[in-house]
Amino acid sequence: MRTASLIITFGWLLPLIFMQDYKKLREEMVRTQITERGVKDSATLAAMRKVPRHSFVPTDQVGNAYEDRPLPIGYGQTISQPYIVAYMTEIIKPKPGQKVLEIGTGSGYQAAVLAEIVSKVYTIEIVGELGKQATTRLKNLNYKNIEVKTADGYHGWKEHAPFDAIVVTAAAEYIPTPLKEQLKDGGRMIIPVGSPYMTQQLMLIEKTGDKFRTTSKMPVRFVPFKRS
Amino acid sequence: MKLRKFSLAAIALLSAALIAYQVAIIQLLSLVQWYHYASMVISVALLGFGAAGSLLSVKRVWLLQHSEILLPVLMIGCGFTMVIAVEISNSGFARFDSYLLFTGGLQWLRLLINYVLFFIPFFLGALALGIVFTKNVAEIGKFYFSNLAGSGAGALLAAVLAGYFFPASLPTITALMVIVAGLLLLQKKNRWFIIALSFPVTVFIFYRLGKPAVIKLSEYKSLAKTMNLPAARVLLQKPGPYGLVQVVSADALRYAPGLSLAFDKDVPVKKVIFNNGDWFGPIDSWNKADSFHLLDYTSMALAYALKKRNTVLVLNAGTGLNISHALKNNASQIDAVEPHRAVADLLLNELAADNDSLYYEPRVKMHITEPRSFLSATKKKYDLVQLPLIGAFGGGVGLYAMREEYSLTKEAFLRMWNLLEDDGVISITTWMDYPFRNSLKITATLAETLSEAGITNYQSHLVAVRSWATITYLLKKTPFTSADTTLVRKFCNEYFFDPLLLPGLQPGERMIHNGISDSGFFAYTDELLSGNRDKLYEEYGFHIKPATDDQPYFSQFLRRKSLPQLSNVFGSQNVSFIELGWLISATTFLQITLLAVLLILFPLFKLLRISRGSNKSWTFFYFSGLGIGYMFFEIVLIQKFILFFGNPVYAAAMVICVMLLASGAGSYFSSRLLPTRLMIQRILLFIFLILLLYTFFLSSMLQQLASLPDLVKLLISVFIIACPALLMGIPFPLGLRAQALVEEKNIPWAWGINGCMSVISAALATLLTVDAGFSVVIMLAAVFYAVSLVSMHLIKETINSS
Repeated sequence: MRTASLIITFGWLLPLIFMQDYKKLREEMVRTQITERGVKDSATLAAMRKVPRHSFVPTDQVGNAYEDRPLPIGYGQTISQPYIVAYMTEIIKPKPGQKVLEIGTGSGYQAAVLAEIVSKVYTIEIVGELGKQATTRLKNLNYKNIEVKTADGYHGWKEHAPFDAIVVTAAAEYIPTPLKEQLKDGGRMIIPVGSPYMTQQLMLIEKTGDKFRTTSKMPVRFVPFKRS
Repeated sequence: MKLRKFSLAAIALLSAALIAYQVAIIQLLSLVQWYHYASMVISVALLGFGAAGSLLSVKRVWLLQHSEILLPVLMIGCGFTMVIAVEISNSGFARFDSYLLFTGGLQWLRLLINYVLFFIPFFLGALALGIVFTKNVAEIGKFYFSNLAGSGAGALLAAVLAGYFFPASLPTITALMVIVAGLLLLQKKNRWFIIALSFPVTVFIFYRLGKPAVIKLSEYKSLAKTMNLPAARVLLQKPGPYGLVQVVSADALRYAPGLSLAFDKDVPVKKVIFNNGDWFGPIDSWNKADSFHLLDYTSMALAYALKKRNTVLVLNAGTGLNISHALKNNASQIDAVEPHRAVADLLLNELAADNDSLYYEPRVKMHITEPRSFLSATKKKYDLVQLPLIGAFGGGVGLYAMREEYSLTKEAFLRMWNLLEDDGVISITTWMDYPFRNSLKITATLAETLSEAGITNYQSHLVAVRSWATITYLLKKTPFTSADTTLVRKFCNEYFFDPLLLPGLQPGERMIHNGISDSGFFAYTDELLSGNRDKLYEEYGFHIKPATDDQPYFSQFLRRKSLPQLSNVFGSQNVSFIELGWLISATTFLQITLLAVLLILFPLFKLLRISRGSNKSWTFFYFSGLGIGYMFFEIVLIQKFILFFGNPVYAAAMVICVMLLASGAGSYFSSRLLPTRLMIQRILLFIFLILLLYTFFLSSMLQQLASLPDLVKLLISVFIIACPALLMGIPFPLGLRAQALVEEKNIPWAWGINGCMSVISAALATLLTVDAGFSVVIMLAAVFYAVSLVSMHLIKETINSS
């Protein structure tokens, strides 16, 4: 009887125990996973603090949203590890007033982070269902400066070219000619290289006139590889 | 009389079906997931046999009393569960994904459910076999022979069926075999009940034969991802012992590996061939009228940039991209070696129009054989030996770590080297990976090849060029000239590549177009070409020592002692994706071990009173030694004979079949021997000596014989496998007879220990060969037979066999 009374009196408090303070989790994520690994750009850090990552993952993954790892979003795709998203954002040097093209919308998280900094984000997703889900999600979150298109990213988005930066979020074994053409002179393109669950390096491509220079960036340096 | 004849046929049929079902499940899991589950399936099958043995020991009287009705019921149940297990394993609640095993959630539980699902048919089938054996103990020889002959035939049957039936249909065929076996044991007393029971089951199986269960691939397999592309569809599919071949078209399917940034044209859309859901290759549609070839814009064009190559050998020619590239570069004679017969047949027939009849070009000669067999047999010399692109874009996740790659061993490269014309080159390209693994292992392999060839000045025989994504290495028979180095520099400038290895390389030349933030890569590459190679092998965080025929696991890089450091750097939740394959095999081994103890040893220990006599340690050591020694040897032979037969399914079928038949003959012969200590020790000593001989000579012997005609190879293989297997069939029945004389009550315990150790060692053998090599595992097999031999001294009494 006494137990029943206790449950009736304080039972309503139970949901509060399971409620997550997502803002706090984001702060924690930025502090422990991102700044500690060397990401310094204040705009990037602010965007990472602001975008609700838990809104971009499937329901069964909400509890893991702020963990230091990629998460499955279906269709063989993942939402990248928070650090990789931050690193890719910082490396293209985003600024207000810029126009960025993203190839591979996925959950829409990277587009949202970019949209917090630049003026316009154009994002293309090839998997129809993922494209639809991302469009709805970004609309619900009130991102007005993101345009989503379901199409083959190979062709880029000619109508809105040239772009200050291009972010390719799916690993690409070759760089399509249209994307190179749609990148502004002096523009930057970033491509993750690796399996869906393990981005081991990022490829930065810088355009100067009709010349390109690539740099293989290792976000996590395993130094030294030698055990000695 | 008639019934006994039927019983023998039923036993043979059931045994054949159980072995064929093993192969069918291996094929199916290779398609749905990856091939890592082969040893798991073998272990699960053995687990079924072991657990059935335990139950038979514990409930022997009851089972024998009800055997008339139980036998057909068990067999019908076995057939039904063969099909339903596949169905449930593909359903939402039991479907697991290898990629998600280490990301938390219920994936491990689902994998465990799969063990249990596939365990059931083996358990039911084995229980039926056990009851028949126990019931007909007076005629055990005939029944045992029928069991082994059936199993042997089942192994061969599976290899044949895999060539004609789709993976989802194979279990229905084995299920029908079991139902027929069950009906053969039908007796008057319960016949209507059995017929009533078997009817709906048979109808269901036939239904599934006509309309196989829908098999859903892991969403991370290349094919599953491709099918998400717009307008993706499977154009045609063909089963085969190498796996299911599927041809797919989609609007956005393009292939241009590490294309130069200087390329300013369109990358064409291509149809693609998948094998067991994994990317096999794009169907090359290049023809002579085309103005360019895509590979000319990749680092793979390096060999042709230096000079015209007349005679070209393309190994693992696949869908023909390297062949058309050679044609485009005016090669006059191209030998294309491709072991995958189903793909070769498709390219020669149904897809000939798609690849512009590439393989009918007079300059191209196709050889459908294993590259190593071709390399051993050919006497021709080549201007260029071209290997396929290795690794995966951005580095793999170690899924191929446990796969034998005999084309990438030190011995294979030495053979290629010997086939080169004076200014001929070996060309091999790899994807850049991080942490650096593939590229360093190739450099090490090439350096050791030169060393074996007696060349110490490696730098003058090696050139490598790095694009933003790939590295192409050339190994030249004679030193590169200054004209060559000029051409390499010109090639690099034209396509935005950088030289990595080049005689006279200047500082700063390595990163003109493509920077790399971890320049340690250059230091490691240089160290591998210096005298400090062995030191780097020892100190590097990954296994980069070249693969050998004894350890042909080129893609195995994991060093377990590096795991804590990797975990620190990449995060514990991510590290599994660096070397996923090994980790899956290791964890399935642990799970299987746990199940073996739980389902085989525990019931015996708990429910049977083990005699407390002083001979129980003999029972343990003797039967453990036999179980482990036998399975170690069998698993190594399967892996070893892949080099000989070129195909894992054929190799497994051949080895299992011959070993079972020879061991069966050995068991049969054992009844003529007296189970004395001396006799058992002599037999075990023979086995120990033969295995010791194999430890040191099997590899070189197979290598010498690889070039012989297929029929001769087959006969020699039978001899090599059967000799030790015949002897290895003797100690178990002889030991059981000795056990009966020493302490009869412990016989079930002896069965249980042997079964449990067989389950564990089947899963462990693969892990050990990857770590230590075939020779070491064969030696370990010898050591375990020695343990059995020495354990004979633990028997206190004289064995009275009179």
